[in-house]
Amino acid sequence: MSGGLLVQYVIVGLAVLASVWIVLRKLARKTTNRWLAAASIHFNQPNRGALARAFGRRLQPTEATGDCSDGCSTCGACGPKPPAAARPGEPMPLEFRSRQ
Amino acid sequence: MSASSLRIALVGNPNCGKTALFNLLTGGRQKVANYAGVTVERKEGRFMAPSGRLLQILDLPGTYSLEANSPDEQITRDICAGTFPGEAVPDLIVCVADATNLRLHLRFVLEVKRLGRPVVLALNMMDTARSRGIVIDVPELSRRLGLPVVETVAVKRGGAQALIERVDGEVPAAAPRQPDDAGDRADLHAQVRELLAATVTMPRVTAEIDDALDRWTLHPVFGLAILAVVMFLVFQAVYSLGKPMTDAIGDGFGWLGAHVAAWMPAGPLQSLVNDGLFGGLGTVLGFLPEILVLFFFIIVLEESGYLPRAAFLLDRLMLSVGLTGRSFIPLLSSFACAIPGIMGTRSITDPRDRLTTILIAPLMTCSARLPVYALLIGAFIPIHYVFGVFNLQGLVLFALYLAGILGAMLVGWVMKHIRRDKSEHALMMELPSYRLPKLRDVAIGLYERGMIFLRRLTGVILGLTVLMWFLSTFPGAPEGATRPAIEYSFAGYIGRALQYVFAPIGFNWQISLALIPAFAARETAVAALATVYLVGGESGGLGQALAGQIPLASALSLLVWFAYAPQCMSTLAIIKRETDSWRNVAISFGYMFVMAYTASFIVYQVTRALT
Repeated sequence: MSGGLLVQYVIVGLAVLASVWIVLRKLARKTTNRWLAAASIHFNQPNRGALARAFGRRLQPTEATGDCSDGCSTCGACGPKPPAAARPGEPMPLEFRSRQ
Repeated sequence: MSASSLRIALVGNPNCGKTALFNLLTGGRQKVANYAGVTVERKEGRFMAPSGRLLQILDLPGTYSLEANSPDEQITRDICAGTFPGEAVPDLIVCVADATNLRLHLRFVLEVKRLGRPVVLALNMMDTARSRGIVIDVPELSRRLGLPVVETVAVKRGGAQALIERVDGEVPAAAPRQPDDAGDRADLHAQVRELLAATVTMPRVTAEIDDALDRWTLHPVFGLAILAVVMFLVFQAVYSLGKPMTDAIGDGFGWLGAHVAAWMPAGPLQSLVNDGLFGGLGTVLGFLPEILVLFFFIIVLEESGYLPRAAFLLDRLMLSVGLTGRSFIPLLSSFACAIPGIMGTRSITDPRDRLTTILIAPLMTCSARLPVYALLIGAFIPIHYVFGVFNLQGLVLFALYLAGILGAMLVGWVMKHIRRDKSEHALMMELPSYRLPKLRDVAIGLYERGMIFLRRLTGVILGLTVLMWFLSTFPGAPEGATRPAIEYSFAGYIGRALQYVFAPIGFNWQISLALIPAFAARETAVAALATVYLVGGESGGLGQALAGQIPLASALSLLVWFAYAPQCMSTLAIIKRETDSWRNVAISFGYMFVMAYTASFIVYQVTRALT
């Protein structure tokens, strides 16, 4: 395999890995947040170097700030946020009551 | 409250301009429209006052009373009362009132005053009030209410100056808290009448132009005809105005891809750039003009104040299928995306009606399906003018949107007949004044929609396209292979396995495969098909490839599939979030799958028999 072709395969490999990550972030936000939090704790230990700790802090998952009301993919908040109306005395969950 | 910061809640009746004021103060771009129920969640923004004090502004859903009925109103009630979990009680409540409709809005102001919190009253839309000859004695109103009163025009730059100066000063003293009592609540109406008599001169209760227009738009026959014509013209325009721009972008990307590919050395990277990025992603990007044309009309209708009229007109029809007129606006929002539509159901008071609306909202054709429709219509429906005026392609697009609406009505009707509670709820909805849409608001709305589309394109759609290219390219064909290389790839194997399920409805393995990424984002079906066909050696554009590879029956079946098919994962996630029930997610997914499969099967078999 020539050097040029090898470089092409490396770039393609990185692009595919990045794509897997993007799709996982979209489809499994909670799970990937857990992974990020675990990695963040791993790197952000007192006995680590400054660079590793800074990297750990960067990995810390942030809470979604939007609320999806402008459309899908505007906030990435699908899932983790509790329903606003799920409080005692309110009609949650919504249930379909069929004829007996 | 700290001396250097102040937490301010904007409250008021629906459609009085709270979000417009919020945007003006914070520089935010939250959605505004001319109907009640646009804001259904709390939004927070910050603003540095001239004194250097940090103002935290909360924009809350509109409510007619602190006796909340719907989930969005409950948020406002709880935040004002300081009982919302994790939310500090606001230091100051800015009660926003529509100056043209104080008869309605002052009642809520009096109710808020009883909370015993510091309150400032912002009389919004003062420009409209003046143009209608309404005169308000502001000092006298302030004196009688015992509250500071300021004038605002939230849609004009500098229109909140008086409010900023007021909230940047000393926080007003709170009125004494008054216990809630049913007798007192009835008394509020009498107090409003007294206040109006003493401080407001109003030549007419409603604007003359509104009454003249409503005679036509709310007419039981002409009104429905006007609504049908408006909707029909919107879909005609989507195709007639958007198609030439779509074609130009598609051709541009084809040309660019060919040049970049010629410049790059042969190899996997060249294939990824040419087949995946320019071919796949470029094809989806080409549909941006059609999406923007659709949104242009949606924004104009939202701004004009026509939509609540349409809801009123359709109330009787919607009651007959187990819905209410209140469902109309969430359902209309679903034409943009099912997610804001489903969230918009929070303004529906009755849990039964809300659930029905949530379950049928995904049947409204969201903008993500537009690229799929436009692609297949462009490839299979000839450019032909019916009666010399109506574009046949536009008619087919209209028919597909109509199919979604009729499907939703059918499901609503079935739910009405199998549910226990059959009671009907009267529609109570405020009809706002008509307003000429402001060019700036329309431009900002279109910019926002365009950016949302581009973020999707460069995020999840790009990721899925690269993965689809990878699956279509690897592993390569073995030595001595007789069939096209793509048939030996992962995509080939997965597609052929799926074809067992989808062959009865006329889908080949490429289409069957494209349905998987479409579950993450509908537009990705187009990118996936483009990538798979380009990797498979097709050239000359996806439309031509499809026209040469699949019969008309399969194309029509695919169109019908997308009209009814289970929605993207985000929609299912939001159904779970809003109903707090996995059962509803399963019901939603299950009924749509059965409906889509059955309809596609019928269309495929009938078309095949006829052609």
